[in-house]
Amino acid sequence: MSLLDDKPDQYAGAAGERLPARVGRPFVGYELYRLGTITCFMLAILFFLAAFAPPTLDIPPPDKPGYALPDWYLIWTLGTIKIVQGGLFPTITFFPNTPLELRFDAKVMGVALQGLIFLALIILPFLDRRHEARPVTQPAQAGAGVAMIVLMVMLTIFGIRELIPPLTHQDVGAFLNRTFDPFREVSDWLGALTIGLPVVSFGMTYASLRSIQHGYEWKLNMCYQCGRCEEVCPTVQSWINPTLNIIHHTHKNVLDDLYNCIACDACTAVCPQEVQYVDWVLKKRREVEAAARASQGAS
Amino acid sequence: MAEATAAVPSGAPPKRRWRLFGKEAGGEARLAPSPPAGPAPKAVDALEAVRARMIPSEFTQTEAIDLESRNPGGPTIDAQGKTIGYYPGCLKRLKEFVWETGTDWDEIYDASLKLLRAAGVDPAVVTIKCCGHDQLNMGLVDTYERLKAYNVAQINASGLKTIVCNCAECAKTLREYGTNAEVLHISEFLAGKKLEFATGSGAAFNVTFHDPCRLGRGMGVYEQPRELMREVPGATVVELAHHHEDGLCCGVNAWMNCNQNKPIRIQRMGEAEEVKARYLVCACTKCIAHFNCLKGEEGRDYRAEVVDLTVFLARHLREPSSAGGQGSGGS
Repeated sequence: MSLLDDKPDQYAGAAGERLPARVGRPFVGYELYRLGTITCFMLAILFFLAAFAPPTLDIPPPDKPGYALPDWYLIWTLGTIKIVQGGLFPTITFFPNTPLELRFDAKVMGVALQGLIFLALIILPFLDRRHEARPVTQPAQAGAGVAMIVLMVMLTIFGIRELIPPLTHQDVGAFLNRTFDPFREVSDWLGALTIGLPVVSFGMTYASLRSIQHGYEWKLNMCYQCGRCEEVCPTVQSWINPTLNIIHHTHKNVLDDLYNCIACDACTAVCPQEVQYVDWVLKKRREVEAAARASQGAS
Repeated sequence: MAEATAAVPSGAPPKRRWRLFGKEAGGEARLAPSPPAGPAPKAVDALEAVRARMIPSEFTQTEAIDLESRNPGGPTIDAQGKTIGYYPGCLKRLKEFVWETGTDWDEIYDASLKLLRAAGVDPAVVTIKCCGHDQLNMGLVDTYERLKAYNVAQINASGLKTIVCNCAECAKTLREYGTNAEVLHISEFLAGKKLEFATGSGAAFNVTFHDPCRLGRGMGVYEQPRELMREVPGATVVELAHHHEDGLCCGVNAWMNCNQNKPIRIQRMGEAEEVKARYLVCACTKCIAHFNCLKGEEGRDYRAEVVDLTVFLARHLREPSSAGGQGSGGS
């Protein structure tokens, strides 16, 4: 039960002879206890600090001393707390007025929201066990990804909403000639955008990816040029100068060889991706017919 | 593709990839490739693009079908209360336009009816217009839509529940119409029915099956024709070098490119010679026309007789009154 002699084959010598398995330190007997001790010690320090020197989650306004910002890639966590402070979640209190009182207020909820986001990231590979990972074949997942990125950007902006210069203060406020609270206005706008933009971006991503999934061009995009269709195409092989080049001409949208195809479906039968080449040919022939009719009607 | 591979009987040779002029193709195809056609016309007019690839009599047939589709009237189905219909397809028209191949089109018509009656069915003959398969494949979609509209109305009005076709192209096209009637190829319909065949002389002979594109890859029917052929006493069903999903096309679609693709047919007939088949059985009338066209050329001496599946079965069917019905000809 040691870490090093799990796979003795990889320590085989160059000539193939087995070397004696090396003996390492056992994981359960040594490493687990050591790591567990260190982890418990660190947790104890955290609990101690949380109990006797609790950090404040109240961010002073920018013009007050003590105002500080985290690094730019962590500002979104500030945003989660602030957006919850806006009244998104009600405060829940368990065992009120007792020593065991637990108050789940906006600050706790904001921190919990960060935990939820990371939890979603962690369980995603366990929920989605499919091999394929193309955005077009998974529009819902791709939409969720885009929505998450937009949410992060918006939360970052929301986290520093006090620093956004009140541009509208002088311009719009003076124009409207009324008392105008830029702080309040920007906050409301940003709050709506922070919630709304991810939803909108999810819908747009989902709809646009779904619309790609139709038609021959979508199937053709699965082609990875294995060439089996060319190999079996009887037309390509029976002509001295074959002009039917299935992949190349389809990508180039060339119509010169359109009527060479004999629609025997042999290419689809061997195609690993089951691209329906004949469907494309018949569609293109229809377009030729339609164009001819249109030109006859015009003249 | 995995299912189709599994459908190959265990005795069949392993699936090979195509190599038309390679080592495994023992045919003479390499010796006589046709020159390619001239530069392909810039397809401005669809009908002209099609005409450039056809021989004149076949283009006349295309024009005739176009006229037929424009006729608001046409034949109607006299079902007489029957629920099963037989659609002969273009057998009558082929008799007028494709006479030079020497194929007896009427025999296919008679054989189909004979087989259906032997299976205990008295079908109504579905007299509708051309199914429009070739027009669809030429891109003449207007003609196809006119034919389809007429045929669908006729079939739905006739009250037929099942339509049996002897031609793979007709069966696939009628099925894609989406009518009220179920459309079956005759091999699908006869599969499982008890047909009584004449014992004949008992001499064994080889018979092989050419998978039509529409029946095999198009409709997924591979085994039913072979099962029917195995029931014929004395018949040993052998497989061509390319069979089932790998089956070679006869080389002509919608009567186009017949000269340019002649090497494919030479290859296919060569494969039939290799397995010493007395009959090359097809289930598509167009394939028979194209193979017989090649056989009729000067200097071609092929042993295999190209027959329709219905003709092959009907020739070996036991006559109700007298014994006999042994296959005639064959060489």
